[in-house]
Amino acid sequence: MYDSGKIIPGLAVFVLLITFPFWYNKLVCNVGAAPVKNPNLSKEMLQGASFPNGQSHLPAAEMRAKHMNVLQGIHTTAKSYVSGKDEKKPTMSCIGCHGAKEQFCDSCHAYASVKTPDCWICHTKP
Amino acid sequence: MKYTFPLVAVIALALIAWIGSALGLQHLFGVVVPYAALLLFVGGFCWRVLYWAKSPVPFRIPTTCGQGFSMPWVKRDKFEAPVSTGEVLCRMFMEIFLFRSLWRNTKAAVKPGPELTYSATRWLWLFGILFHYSMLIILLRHLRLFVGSELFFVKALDAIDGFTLHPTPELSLYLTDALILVGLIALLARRFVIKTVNYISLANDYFPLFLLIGIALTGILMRYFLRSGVDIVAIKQLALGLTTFKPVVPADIASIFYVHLFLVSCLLAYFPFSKLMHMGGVFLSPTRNLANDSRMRRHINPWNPDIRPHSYASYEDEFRADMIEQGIPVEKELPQG
Repeated sequence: MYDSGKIIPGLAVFVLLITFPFWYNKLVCNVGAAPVKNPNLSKEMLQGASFPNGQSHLPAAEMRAKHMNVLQGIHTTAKSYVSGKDEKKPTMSCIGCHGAKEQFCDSCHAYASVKTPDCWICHTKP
Repeated sequence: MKYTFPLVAVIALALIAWIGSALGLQHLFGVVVPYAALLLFVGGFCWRVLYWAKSPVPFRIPTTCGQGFSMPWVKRDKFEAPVSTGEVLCRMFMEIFLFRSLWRNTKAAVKPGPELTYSATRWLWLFGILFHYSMLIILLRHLRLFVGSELFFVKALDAIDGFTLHPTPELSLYLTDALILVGLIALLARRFVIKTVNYISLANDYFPLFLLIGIALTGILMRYFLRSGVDIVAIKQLALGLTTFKPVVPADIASIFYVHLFLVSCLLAYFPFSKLMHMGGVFLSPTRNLANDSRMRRHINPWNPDIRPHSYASYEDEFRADMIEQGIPVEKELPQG
């Protein structure tokens, strides 16, 4: 073998880079448990039957995958609030059933390292 | 047609994963195949590089693209004809990060006269660099699924790449998602449109392109269009399970995810045995990584036999008796007695 003094270290660097998630998860960061899927909601609530205003939303699995689009859809239809100008901040109706932001939003967003949306600039934190 | 087999192969691979995951083979496509593919990739990559390392480089190959080191008053091109390790590193940097060789691409044409002309053509460079950097950024962005904590560079890349993302990340476009498709489709179109390139294109040129397009398309579909059943938390659970060697297969992930994962696994497994090894090969290109110092440093051919110098005096010492016997004149007579 020729130039082993350069090729072997080069290969070692390559293997280290490729296996980065393996050793990084082991040595550096604590891999937390996945967030609990089902928040404490009653069966009726899960089926969307006891929605406060009689509306319903998609089943939980669909909402998990598409809530950002759903929220954005609601958002564009109700944009009358002007941040900074209007004093009273709107609340988010999700939180009425689903409880605290920390469990309902942040737990999954942190786990999947998804940017936490900037809902809370305008909306009041429950 | 040289492109039909690879196209059919990629479609078949996608169908295998689709049907397999629909039949409940999630463990196979989510755990066994990715592990096997990663092993093949890392093992095969190292094997291939070590195999290359066994070939001796007999001599400097001074295919320089600029004025080499000569007289002190001749202005030389440091990075195109390097003589020191530092200059070679600069040339390698330009090759690996900026695709210097592709920038040098020229197109020959005959103009009325007739006159043969060469003009710079940098489309290959442009689409090559678009594809490769998009791929790199997409790979790094995927670390958010494989690493248990938030990494600053992944976050930064996410923000730069997704600068159109407002207000929530899932709603609009990552720049690289579009650019990688532009790059790949242009690189594929090149093989169809340019007659000379089409002529030399083989199945193993089309296959990686179709495979990469398949991977990019399934990824884009999952992210923007077919979100049903694409639960990021479940996918991260699977990815983290793989990287911590405690594989779990969440039940409710859509088939398209397994298609994506299987195509990536195929790419990894195929990588070391294909032209894609230019990833490792670019570092071992003798015309790029050897200094142009063949007139400054003596190069000993590594496979030369060990030939000791044999002077006439010692030759005569060895054969003196025979030489005298044959009547050949000698400088020194045999010792008396």
